[in-house]
Amino acid sequence: MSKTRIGFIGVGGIAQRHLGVLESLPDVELAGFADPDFNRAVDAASRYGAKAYGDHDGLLGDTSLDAVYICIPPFAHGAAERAVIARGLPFFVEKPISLELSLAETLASEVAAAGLITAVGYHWRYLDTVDEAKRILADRPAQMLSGYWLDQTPPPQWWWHADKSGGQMVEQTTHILDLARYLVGDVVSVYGLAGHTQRPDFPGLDVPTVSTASLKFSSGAIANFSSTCLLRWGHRVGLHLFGDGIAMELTDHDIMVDIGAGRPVRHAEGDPVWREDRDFIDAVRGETNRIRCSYGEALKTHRVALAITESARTGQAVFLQAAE
Amino acid sequence: MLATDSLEPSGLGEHMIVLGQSLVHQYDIVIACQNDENGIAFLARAAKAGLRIIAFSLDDLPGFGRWLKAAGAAFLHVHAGIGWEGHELVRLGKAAGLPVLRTEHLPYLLTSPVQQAEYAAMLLSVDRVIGVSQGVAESYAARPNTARMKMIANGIATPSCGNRQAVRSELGLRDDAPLLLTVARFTQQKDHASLVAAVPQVLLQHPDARFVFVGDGPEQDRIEQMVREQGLEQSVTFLGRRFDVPDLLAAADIFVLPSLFEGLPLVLLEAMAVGLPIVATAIDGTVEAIGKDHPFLVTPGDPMLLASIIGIALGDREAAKAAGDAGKTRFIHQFQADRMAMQTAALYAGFLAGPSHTLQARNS
Repeated sequence: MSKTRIGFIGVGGIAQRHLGVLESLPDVELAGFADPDFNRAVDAASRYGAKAYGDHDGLLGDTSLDAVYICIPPFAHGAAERAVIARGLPFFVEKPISLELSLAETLASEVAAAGLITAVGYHWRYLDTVDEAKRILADRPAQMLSGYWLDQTPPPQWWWHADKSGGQMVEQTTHILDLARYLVGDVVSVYGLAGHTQRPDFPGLDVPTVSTASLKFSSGAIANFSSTCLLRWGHRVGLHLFGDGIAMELTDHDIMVDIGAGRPVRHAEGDPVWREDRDFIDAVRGETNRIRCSYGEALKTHRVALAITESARTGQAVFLQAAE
Repeated sequence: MLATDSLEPSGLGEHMIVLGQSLVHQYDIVIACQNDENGIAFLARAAKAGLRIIAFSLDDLPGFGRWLKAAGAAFLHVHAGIGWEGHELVRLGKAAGLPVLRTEHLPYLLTSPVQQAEYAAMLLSVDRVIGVSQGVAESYAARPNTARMKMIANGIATPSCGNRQAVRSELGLRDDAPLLLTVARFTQQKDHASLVAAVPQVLLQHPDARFVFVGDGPEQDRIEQMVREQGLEQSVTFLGRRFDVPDLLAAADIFVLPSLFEGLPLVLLEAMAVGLPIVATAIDGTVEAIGKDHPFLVTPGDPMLLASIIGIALGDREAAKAAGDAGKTRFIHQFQADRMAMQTAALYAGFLAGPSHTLQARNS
C-alpha cells in the first residue's frame, strides 16, 4: 500500500490533535514538521521518524510530499498557504483561515485557479449528532437559532489580542457560525455588538470580553449568537435550533431533540476529527472527495464572523448577500 | 536506520550525522536515539543537518521494534560508544528480521567477565562489526567472530572556515597571545588532569599562554577545582559545550588532546582539516589520525613531557606550521567523509543485494 506523505506547518496544540489521528492511519506517512520553534518541530519529527524544519520553505523543499497540514495561529496565515499553493499541493488548514478578508479571498481564488483539494478544520460538521440534526431539519427547518460560546479565556497570550486572534467571534464562535451555516444555509445580514471589561489577571487583553450577533439567513431564519471569555470555566458551547414543534440542542458531544416528549439526550459517537482527516486523506489519494468544508466554503463562514466584528465596530448592520 | 543508545552521543553522534549526510542521496537515512535530554539535543542536530529522526524509549524498545517494521527499514546500523552499549538495539534489529551492522567507536575495553560475556553473545547475532580505526579493529581481534570485523576509518566533512577574532575577542586575548585549545568531554579517558598539571611549566616559558577547554562531562568539577587549587584561573578557561567549532579552531594556535585512549577522535580530524598544529598523546587512535611521524606526540599521563612538547610547539612556530600543513595533507588524503561514506555504502550494498530484503536505496 502506498503511503500518503504529509508535512505539517505549525506543530502546536491543534496539530497534535490531527497527529493523534493521522498516526493511526495505515496509509499515511508523517514526513516532515516545520515550526519557528525548532524544538517543537524536532519533538514531533522524533516521534514519527520524520524531518524537522525551522520554516515552511524548508519543509516544502521536500518534493515527495503529497499534502500539507497548516496549523498556525490566526495572525500567521498567508505566506504558508501561498507557498503550498505555489507547489500545487493539497492542504488542510485550521480555522480561522485569516484575520483579513482580503487575504482569505485572494487565497481562495488562487486555490480555485489551481484546482487544489483543500479542507478547513470546521470539524463540528463531522459530528454524527450533526448528521442526525441535518436529517431532522430537512423535514422541519429551523426558524430560529441561538448559538453560544460561553467560556474561559484561552491561555495563549496571542489569543488576548484582536490583531493576533481576531477576537472570540472569529477564533472560537466561528465553529458555531459554521455549524449554523451547514445546517440552515447562507447568512444574508448581521448586526454585532461587543463589550470589553478590563481584567487585571489578563494584562493587555484587548479582545471583546462579551459579544453578541443577530443574523438573518437566506431561508428567512433568524439567529442570535453570544460569546464571552469572562468565565473561569467552560459554561456552554453549542447551538440551539427551533422550528415548528421542535427544539434541538447541539453541543460537541451530544444532541437533545425536544418534540414535547421529554428531553432525550444522545451522546455523539466516534471522533469527528478522525472523520475529517480521513476524508481529506481519501480525497488526496484520489478517492471520492467527501470533504465537508473546503477553503471556499470556510471563506463563507469567515466572512460572517468578520462581518460581525465589523458591525460591532461601526454600529451598522452588514448585508452579505451582494458579497456572496 | 542509524541508531545509538549512547547516553552522551557527542563525537559518536557527529559521526552518525556526517555518515547520514554523506549517504542521504543513496539511502533513506533515519537517525535514532533515546528520548532523553542529550538524545533529543543530538536528534535536533541531526534534524538541522536535514536528516530524518526518531526517538525511542529504553523502557519501550519493543515499540521501537514495531516502528522499525512498520517503517520498512532495510537494515539497522548500531553505533556503540563503548563495548557495553548497543546490545539491546542489536537484538531488536535481529528480532525485526533486519541485517544489523555495528560500529565500535572505541577500542575493546571490557574487563568485567559479565560484560565480556554479553559482548560475545551479541557478536553471535550481529552481521558485521565496523571499527573506526585500525587500532579499534585490532583491539577486537581476540574476540570470536572477528572475521566479521571491518575497518572503516572515521571521516569528517571539511569544516567551514572560522573567524579567528570571534573567540579571541570573547576571551579578551591579544593577537599574539598563544591559545591552546582542547575540545573533549571531561571524562577520565580524556585526562585533562595531566594537561592541567602541565600548565605551570608551560607558563614559565610562555606566561601569556591561554588554555581553553571546550566540553562538559562528569570530571569537569574536579578539573575546575584543580585549576583553582593551582591558581591557574587566569590561564585556563572553561567554555562549556560549544557549537562554533570552526571559530574555536580558527582562534587557536595549538590543539592539545591528552587522552589515555581513543577510537579515532573526530576533533583531531577537524584540527587537521584546518591545518592546526596538534600536541597529543601517542595512543592508537590518535597516532592513526595524525601519523606516527608527527613531531609533537607524548606518552600519555606524563605532564612534564606534555609541558615540554607544548613548549617546543609554541617556541618553534615554523615546525608547528609544518606539522599543521602535514596534518592537513594527511586529512585530505585519508579522512574525508566521502571516503568513509563510500566504504560504508559498499558494505550496505552487500546486505541490500539479497532478495529477501526490501530495498530502501533511492534511485538517484
